[in-house]
Parts: sequence; C-alpha cells; structure tokens
Amino acid sequence: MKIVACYKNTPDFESLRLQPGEEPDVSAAPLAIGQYDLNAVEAAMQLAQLAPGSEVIALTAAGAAADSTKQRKAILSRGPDRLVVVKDEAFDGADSFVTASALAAAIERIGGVDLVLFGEGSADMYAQQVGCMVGALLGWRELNSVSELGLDGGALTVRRELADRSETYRLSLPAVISVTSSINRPRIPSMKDILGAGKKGVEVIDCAGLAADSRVETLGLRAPEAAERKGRVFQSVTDEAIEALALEIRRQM
Amino acid sequence: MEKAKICLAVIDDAGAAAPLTALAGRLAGRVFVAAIDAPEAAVNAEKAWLISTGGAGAAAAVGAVTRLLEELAPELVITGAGRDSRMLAAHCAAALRTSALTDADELTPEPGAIAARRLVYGGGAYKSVRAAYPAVICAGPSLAGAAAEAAPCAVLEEIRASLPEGMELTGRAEKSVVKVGLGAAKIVLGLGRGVKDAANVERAAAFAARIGAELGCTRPVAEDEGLLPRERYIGVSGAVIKPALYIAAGISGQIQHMAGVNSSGVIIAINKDKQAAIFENCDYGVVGDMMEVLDALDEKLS
Repeated sequence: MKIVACYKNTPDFESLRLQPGEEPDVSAAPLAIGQYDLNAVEAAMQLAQLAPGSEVIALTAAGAAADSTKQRKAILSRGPDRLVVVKDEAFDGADSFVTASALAAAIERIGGVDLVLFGEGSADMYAQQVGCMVGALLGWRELNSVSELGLDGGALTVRRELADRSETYRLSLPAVISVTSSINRPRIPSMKDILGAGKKGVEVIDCAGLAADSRVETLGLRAPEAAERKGRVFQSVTDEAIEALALEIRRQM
Repeated sequence: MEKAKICLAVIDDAGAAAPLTALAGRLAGRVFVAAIDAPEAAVNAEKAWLISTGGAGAAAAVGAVTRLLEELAPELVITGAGRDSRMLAAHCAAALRTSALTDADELTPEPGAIAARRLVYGGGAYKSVRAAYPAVICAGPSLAGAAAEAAPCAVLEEIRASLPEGMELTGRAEKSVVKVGLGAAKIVLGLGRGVKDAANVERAAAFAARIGAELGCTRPVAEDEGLLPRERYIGVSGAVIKPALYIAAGISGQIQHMAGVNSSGVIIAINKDKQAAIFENCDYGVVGDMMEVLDALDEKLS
C-alpha cells in the first residue's frame, strides 16, 4: 500500500508571549509539527505494518519550514520512508482551500496513492477542514473523525466517533481519512530513529507562484482583551463567600 | 446592513435548525434549507430539501448538497459546528473554491463579502477575516446554540441519497451520553487541573447537574489527564462560549482559556492559589479548595 500522511509545521503558540489586545508575534515562535498530525503519521505506520511492502510518505505544504532540516528530521524520525514538501511562501498562514489544493495536486503527482491520512485538525487554526477538502478535490471516498482503522482484504475498515453515536464503515481504496487524537499514542523517536531520519529521501516541489488564490482575507490578529470584571475575591472559604456565590448561581438556576 | 441574496443552511442536527436558519435569515434575503435525515429541521425557509440517507448520514448527503449549490448558487452556506457539519462545510467550500469560516462569531455582512472572527492558536488570539461571496460559514457554538423561533417550512422536496460506490456503512450505535451543549447552556462549570481525579470530576458533574450547568474543562483535563471527553474542552476549536454564568473551578486562568469564556455574563473563580491569574478576571472569587467550595455551594443550594 502507498500511504501518504499529511502534516503541518505550525508556530508553537504555547511559547508565544501574549499582550492583551496586541498582535502576537507569531514569527518569533519556534516551529513544531502539529500535535494532531502525529496521530496521522502513527496511524500510517501502524497500517503499513499490516500490509507488508507498504510505503509511507510524509507530505506537507510549507513556506519557511520547507527548508528546515530540523523539521524534516523531526517528521521522518516518526517512521515515514520519505518526505515530499510542496514549497511556496504563500503556504505560510494559507487558508484551508489553498493548502488542500496544493496537497491534492501533490498527491496526484506522487501517483498510485492508496490512502491519505490527516490528523483531526491543525494545531494552530484547528478548522478541521483540509482532510475533508482534499478528499473532495480528489473526488475520493473520504471520512473524518475516524478513531479506528484496519484492513480487511483490500478494503479499509474504519470506526467514526461522533458526539452522539459511533459508526463503522468499509471503504474501497483510494480514500482520504482524518483520524481523531484518540486513535493512537504517537511514538517518541529514539536516537537511532533521529539519526536514520537524516538519510531518508526528501523531495521539494517548488510551487512558487502556483498556489491557488485565496478568497478569504485576514484582517487582523489580536490577543484577546480581558473584560471589565467586579473582582470581588474572598481570601478564604467563609460563609459570606459561599453566600455571595450561591446568590449568583441561584439567579441563573 | 447589506444582506446576502441567497443562503443555504445545511442542517445535519435538528437541534441546531432554529438558530442556524434564524441566523441565515439575518444574513440573507432568501433562505433555503437542506435538512439531512431531520425533517423537523425544515424551518424558517422559503423551501427545504429533505435529504434522506436511510441512516447513512452526512457522508451520503455530500453529493446531494453540492448539487443543490449548483442549482441555487447561494452567496452564503451555513452549517453547524459538529464533525458531520464540518465535513459538509469542507465539501461545499471545495465546490465553491473557497475556505469555510469555522467556529465563526461576530458575523458581519459587507457588500459582496462577509466578515467574521474566531479564536486561533488554542485561544491565544482572535483572527478577523473577510470571505468574498460565495462563502461558507460553520457557525460557532454560541450562534448555533442561541434560542430562536422556528416557523415550519411550507415548500418541501424530498431527495434520496446514498453513500458513494465503494463505501458501506457496516454499523451504527447511538451513544447514551447527553449531548454537550456548551453553546446553549446558561451556566457552565469549567474544571481545571485542580480537579485532580476522576472521583472529583464525578462529584463536580453531580453538582453541575443539580444547578443545571453544563460541564466544561481546560485543555490539560481533556488532553493530558483524559478526565473528560474532548467535546467538553473549552477553547479547542476556537469556540467561544457565552453563558450567563461561568464557574471556573481549579482553573489558573491562562489567556488561552480565558479567551474562550471572556464573553460570559458573570465569572466566578475558585482556586486554592491566591496568585492565580483567574482572580484578575473574575466577578467573584474564592481562594480555597475547589471541592470544598463546590460541596459548600451544593449544600447551600439544595
């Protein structure tokens, strides 16, 4: 089986210094692989074990991160056999359609792909759109919210976990699947994995100027401002404190 | 306010039909509904298509919905925020060659476009965007959960839909769990790391049920500790909640979490650390053990 696992290098926003009401300096944050994307890579590696002779290809659309050897090693140390990077500055901060268009085109160019895997959403935007959209653009069978994946003969068996129900499906390939964060626990690469990652193949497809046009314009980015609050804080658990809280709760009951 | 001409509301969850179609009516002159396996979602519209999939669900309805886009050529498509809704939104957006505005809040129609705002970076920032028509909106929970009138739709047309070839639904099980209605709840009890263990979560849940509160939590409680399902994690999807009362128990009050709850009417904070940032951002605060305070409140209120 030829499996593609897609991922995105995102700014590690936990390290961002946020000033209420001001624009966070996203470019100052170090890059990291989106945490949910690691579930897609791990799912690809586990499926590849079920189908001996499989190839796992990591795929990303990136601007600045495209040339980072550290980021390349980070993804390849998680197991994929090789990496394909679609490169254009327009992919930094690109919307779902621009990203999905680039990934769908790359998947067609890779050729012979049986299965494309995504995580449940990107770590920075978490719109949960790109996996479904790549399925739509390729015209392949597509499901999101997948919490279990298996193979049965030449078909894929999946379990979808939703808020009010679960579903199981059998799908012929090719297909695009977005997995949940509960599907697996991504592996922690060993020193050997990290050293081995440097020897794996990396193909960079230069797409400068070829990115799809975006129809969504970013107007601004601002750290949230705190609302004005009464700030009546009781320094210990007194009857007066409980009374004051109970009064507010009773008002809404 | 300049309205869009035509809006198609794609509804896969009857519970969200009234608020989503009412929202569509505020944003567009003419409203149409695609109701998936939910005839009761045919409300507040000029015409509704009842898409019946025989239980196969949203994945089966995708083809029928995108064909409606060709027929209607809407300027706006509105969906809910669940996983099925997002899947439908992605297919609509792909067909219209645009990106869906997910978890959208503060929607403002402009000439030829719609502006919206959402939380990004795990609650670290608001991103304001403007999408040219045709645009796709996945309404955030405070919009999808708002109370709204529902007038039944007079013109109905039925469409039968089935899964694409090579895709078969082999099983389906309803969950007994109550749906998480963080968007619609008047009171939300948010649990932070201070809740510590499953036994305390259970006690807090029982208290929440008695006061009619919906239970929410912070990222570590859902993701690191796995004490509550991810649906209850506030801030994960950029969703902003706006309950009349938010009770933050054992929550330190990082900006990423506060962004998701700042629009609450009243905020009560309970934390044993008197330095916790949450105390700078609350209406009432008590420094003390959260379980002790919840138990005392439970006693007082029962």
